[in-house]
Amino acid sequence: MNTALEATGLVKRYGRHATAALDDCSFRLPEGRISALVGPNGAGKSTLLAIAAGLLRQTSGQLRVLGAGPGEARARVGYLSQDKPLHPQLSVADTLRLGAELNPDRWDAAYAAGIVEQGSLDPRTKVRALSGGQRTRVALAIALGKRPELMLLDEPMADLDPLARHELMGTLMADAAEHGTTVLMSSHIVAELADACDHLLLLGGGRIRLGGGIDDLIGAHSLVTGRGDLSKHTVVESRASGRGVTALIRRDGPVGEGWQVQEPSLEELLLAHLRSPEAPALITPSTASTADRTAVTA
Amino acid sequence: MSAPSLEKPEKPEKPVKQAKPTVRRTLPGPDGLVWTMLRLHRTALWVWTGYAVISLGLLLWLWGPGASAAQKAFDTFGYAGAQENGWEGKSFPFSAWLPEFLSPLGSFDTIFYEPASLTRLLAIGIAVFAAGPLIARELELGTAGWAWTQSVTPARWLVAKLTVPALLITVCTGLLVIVYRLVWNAHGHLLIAGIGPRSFYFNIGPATVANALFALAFGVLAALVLRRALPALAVSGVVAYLVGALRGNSWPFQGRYQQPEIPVHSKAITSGGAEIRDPGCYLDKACLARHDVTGFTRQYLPSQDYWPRQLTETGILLGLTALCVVAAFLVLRRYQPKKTTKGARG
Repeated sequence: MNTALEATGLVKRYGRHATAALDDCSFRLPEGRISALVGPNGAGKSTLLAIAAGLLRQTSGQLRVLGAGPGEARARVGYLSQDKPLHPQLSVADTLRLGAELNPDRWDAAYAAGIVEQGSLDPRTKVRALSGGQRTRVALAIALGKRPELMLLDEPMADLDPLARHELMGTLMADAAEHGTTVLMSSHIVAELADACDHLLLLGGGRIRLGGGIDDLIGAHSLVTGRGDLSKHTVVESRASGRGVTALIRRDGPVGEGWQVQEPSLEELLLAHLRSPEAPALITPSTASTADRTAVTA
Repeated sequence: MSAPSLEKPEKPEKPVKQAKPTVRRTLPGPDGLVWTMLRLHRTALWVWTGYAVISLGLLLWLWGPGASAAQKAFDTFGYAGAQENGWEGKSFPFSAWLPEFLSPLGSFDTIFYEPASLTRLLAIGIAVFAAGPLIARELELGTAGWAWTQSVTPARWLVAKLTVPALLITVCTGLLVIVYRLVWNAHGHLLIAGIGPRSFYFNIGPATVANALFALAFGVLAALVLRRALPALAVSGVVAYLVGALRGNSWPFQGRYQQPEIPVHSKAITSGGAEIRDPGCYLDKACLARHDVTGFTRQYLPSQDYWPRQLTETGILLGLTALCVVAAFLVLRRYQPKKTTKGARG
């Protein structure tokens, strides 16, 4: 399986004495996955995406993007930053033209124009007159019109109405499925992620806390209710409920008698890990960086 | 995962890029950066065009009809006539109807220096534009980063940001300087002598173009270093103003040696065609008739000091420009991830 993105010991510190936004972050994102990048505010999601997009210099460590250094495969990487910067004085049509001029070898004008038309935007409207959601649509149209092999999306859907969000997510997913595009998308909207993504990277404290296919990750955990000994397993989070406890555990062997076992939802899995930053990290083999995997096998 | 096969399978879903760009391209350019530049800075382009038209218009007017009244006065009374014309100010088309206090606006002598003042203002304007709208505003808006995540590297982006304005500045300012020197050669003798013509003579030349280019490069560097429009704009405006103030007569290398005198050939012509010393009749026609003076000739001769001073100044300004450009590219590298791609651990 080819690698779309691979970080090895990536560190980013803003200012010399600040705490690191990324702290020895290592992971691997296989090609063709649609991956959700989640984490609490300030976890380093935007930093990671910006370094991958070639816009920020890491303090140390390395990142490989589509087999090249960050910023060396610009034509093949699409990036949508959180604030969706566009030139306010340009019309929508001129903005699309700009996309064409700046991506001469890859631009799919019809496709980009189609995404804009779906939002029933007048191409003559100035960007400064657009609402936040409409701007997102135009920015996304340019990111997609470039036909990238890797899409880095930073909070892409935050200011879209539910209808537009559903429709644009659909466009994005259809595009990814058709062309095998790898997508790494940060978001706070867990429901949106559960539908669209098949892979998860949970960032916390500057490193990956959970990484792997969503099904694998969910499968490795259980939501148990009851009483008894859980010390054999890794308890991510537990709280009292009724006479016993409800706990999200990472199973190590079968769960003993007296426990009611459920499969956690993605939301429960994420919330449990977000609430318990001290829980040990879990990174599935396909998502572990090459360096870590060799260390394990050695 | 163990024993990786040597021949990697072809990526089957690799997107086939068949999409032909259906967008009409009107201007040549390897990556459309030229179009991008012209489109993004359309307002600045209009302002620039306005500046060029006004300056060139003024110069052409000075070359032609603007000098006729002063020339007529000169032909009649010699230098004294031109001087009187300069003080009276009657060569501007509507100056007869202007209020008294505005009359100096109208003379050939005052209008002659206007385009030169404009080139000074222009350098400050260029610096402010380069620091603000050209670079820092794009950094603040995030559109610079947006451009860099298209198929354009930051270095090529900066090359376009520098070369398109530099080309316009060089061509346009160069043309103005040439026309200005032609006007000077044709009508310089009509100016009121003193610091005015001397300062002008040593100011306008290749160094004028170099000054504008320096303003551009410095503005770009200030914006990349400071990253914010307002401080960058203020710093580069002040520096461009200071360089403009130093120019012409106060560079350190000129020491206390201010503008030298320009040699001038100034004679009166008798009815017989002989060149004699100006009899100093001032505006007295009877006196001129008594000396049998029927015409005058007056011409500034090229000064030996011109080229050494111009070329030194040009060299220094171009050197500073080059330093700014190199520094700008070095600073730009700080905006990007480290390019070390080798040395993977494990």
